[in-house]
Amino acid sequence: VSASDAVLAAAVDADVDAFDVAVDVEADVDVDASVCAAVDAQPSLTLADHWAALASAALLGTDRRPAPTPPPGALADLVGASRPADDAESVLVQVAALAAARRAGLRPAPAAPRLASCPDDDRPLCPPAAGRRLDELIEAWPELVDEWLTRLAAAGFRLRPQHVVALAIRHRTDVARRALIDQAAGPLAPWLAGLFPTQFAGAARSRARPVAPSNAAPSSTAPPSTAAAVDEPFPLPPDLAPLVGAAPADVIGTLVDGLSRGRLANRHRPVLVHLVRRLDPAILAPLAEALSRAGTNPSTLGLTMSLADMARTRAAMITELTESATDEQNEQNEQNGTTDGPDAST
Amino acid sequence: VATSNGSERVDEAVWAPEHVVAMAPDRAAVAAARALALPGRWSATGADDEAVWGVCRGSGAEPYQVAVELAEPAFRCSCPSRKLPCKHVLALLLLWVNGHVPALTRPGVVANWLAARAARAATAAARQTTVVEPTDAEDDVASRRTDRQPSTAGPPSPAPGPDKRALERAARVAAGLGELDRWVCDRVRTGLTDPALATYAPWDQVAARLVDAQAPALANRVRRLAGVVGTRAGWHEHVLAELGALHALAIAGCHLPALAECRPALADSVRTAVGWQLRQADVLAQPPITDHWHVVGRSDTLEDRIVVRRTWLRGRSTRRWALLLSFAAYGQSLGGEPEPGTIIHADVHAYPGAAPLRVLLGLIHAPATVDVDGPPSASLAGACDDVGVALAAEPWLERHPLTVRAWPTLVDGRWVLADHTGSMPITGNLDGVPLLVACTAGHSATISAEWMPDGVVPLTVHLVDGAVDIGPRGGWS
Repeated sequence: VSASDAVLAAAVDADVDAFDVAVDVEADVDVDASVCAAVDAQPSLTLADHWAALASAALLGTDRRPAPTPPPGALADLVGASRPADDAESVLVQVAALAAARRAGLRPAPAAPRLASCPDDDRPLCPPAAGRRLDELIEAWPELVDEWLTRLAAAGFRLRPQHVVALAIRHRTDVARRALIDQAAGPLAPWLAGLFPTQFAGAARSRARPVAPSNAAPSSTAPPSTAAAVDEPFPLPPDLAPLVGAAPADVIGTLVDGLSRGRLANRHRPVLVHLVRRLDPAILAPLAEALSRAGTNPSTLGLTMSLADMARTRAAMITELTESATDEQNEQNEQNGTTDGPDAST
Repeated sequence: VATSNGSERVDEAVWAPEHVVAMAPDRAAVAAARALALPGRWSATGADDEAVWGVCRGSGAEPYQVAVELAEPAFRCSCPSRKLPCKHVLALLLLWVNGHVPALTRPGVVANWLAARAARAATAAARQTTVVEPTDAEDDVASRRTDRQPSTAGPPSPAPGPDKRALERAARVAAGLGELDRWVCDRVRTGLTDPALATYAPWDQVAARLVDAQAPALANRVRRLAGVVGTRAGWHEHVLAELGALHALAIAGCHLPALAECRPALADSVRTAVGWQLRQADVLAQPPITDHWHVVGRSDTLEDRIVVRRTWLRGRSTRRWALLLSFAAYGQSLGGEPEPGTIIHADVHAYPGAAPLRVLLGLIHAPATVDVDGPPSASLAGACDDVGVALAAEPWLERHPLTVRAWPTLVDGRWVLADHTGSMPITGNLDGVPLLVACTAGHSATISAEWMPDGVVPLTVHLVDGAVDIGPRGGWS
């Protein structure tokens, strides 16, 4: 018995008589019994052959090629009972019945071996809150993504797979940033790049660079400098440059004053964004608070609120990654403690 | 992070920033809302168990009055934006979930609005047995578009003489189906190699006629078929099988009264496949099926400029599959449906049919929470049996959900899902495959997918620490 006969037998098991009622409500054909009979009676004629004959008639058109005669049994009875007006209708009746039987008799294709699996990464997964923060950064503050990645790797976490894919595809041609992503992604990044060379184009180049030995026990290597994202040289106008190292009160005062008087305006947006990105983390929360209460000048209100949001977001992101790193360590210490506990007591 | 104003969150369990973001009609609205979601921008804010309200200083001279009713949710904003919800509503909700809105007694204007809504709801409930669902008042557009058919044919009107109207409609549908069947037969007569079929025009004409004949579901089916012609090897077999299904549906649809006598459930299935719209009240009158429903996945498709979202559910004790359909036109928000990876304790009411999948959500006993254990999974062979049973009952079914324990792998350059019982090809646009492969890292995982005639579309990877939604997103995201 051929594969497609088995398909049909399975369909019959599954009570396929629904379709004949649908094809012609006046037909009263017991498909179960007669299809089985057809299969028994004519083992040489497979339903796959008959399907191919129907398809070829439909492709050329029944004007040029007549409808194939159904094998005796359920199909023939069905065609007889539905009294097709012409060859086209006969083909359609048979197609409806056969397609239904083939689909309902669905079986899996032959089994397939697993892919060579990705090497393990023993770093813990990025905590959920930090993961949600990254989603927010990608949408709202892409300027902060690099710092987030650096801090994540420094805290000893690995990226969630969905972020590996999203970031690697987004920055596939940006080799420097890919190195940062690959470091946080661990062995998953080169493994994926091997499977999806088109989507992850640029990965080959980033792997060729001597950076981010990602699958060499990443948690044990010294964390990269968290200051990396902040140390880069960067253009600030002379009147803003001193703010980077200034006392919190001065920074906040200058910004709030400048924005509410309109001295700092939308044309300064890029430099101000860079400034907030570079500021000492300790200033961020009070700055956000001061800015969100300071918006009184209608022409700079949007900018003020936007900078407040950025400062708040960056402060929250730093807190999350620092706190969860500490939690993780505490947890590990606790685990060590509990495993040591029984030994100590006995 | 300390909350300003010393306030407490009103309903911490249910709302989180991602829920607010999920309600947004598009990304631009989220970005705009984010910049507005700062205390300095707002005054007279407050919240209680049922509502959040506030006044937003916008770019215009007049500040905007914003209020949100949380249960439904429903929105009200005095801004002129056509987006639903608008950025002010989203910003207010973000402000609230971030703990910047104090708990207060609601002011009169908000109380009046809520009272008016409640009164309307009561009236609607009273009329529900006789009338189609009421349309929303203009000043109060409910966010919940779940299960409202966007068809151009429109729902049947509740005008007097329903029998006469029903008969008229039946005659119109039958005429449309007769026309469809003649067209389908002509295609087989002249052959599928007919070059005219490679253009959209002839399919569109047939689809338009079906819309006129009030058979919108068949119209969409014909339109989908136009997109298959010539697109891949073996397309003509797919088109032929579909023409067979259209023929069967056309004939069955023309003989509905006879069919209803001998096979009532099948007749209901045919009605649904043709596009007869049931009144929601009639569906809600079906006996409730109470269960804890695993939200296993969602998939969006764009049909005739409408985003159609399928949210698939699986009953924990009943083991039933269920489908929530929702629709959104351009610029409107989907959302309000439960998220994949959650579980919701609720009644559902099934649309009648031989293999009933589609349901309406009824009474919600407990809101969606994280689905810690995940849905039950089968082998691929087991899933095929499951799908086969449904297809035997409704041979024209185009999608059916499945949850399997399987691994993604490559066979001759094609992605498949595989396990010890075999493999099934992955179909659809393959955008979700890298994410699927990344989440499994080559190992077995619990994966929910949609069966379609030419393969499976992965929707969700159920990982130990949460579900990852990889289903196709429609339209304008």
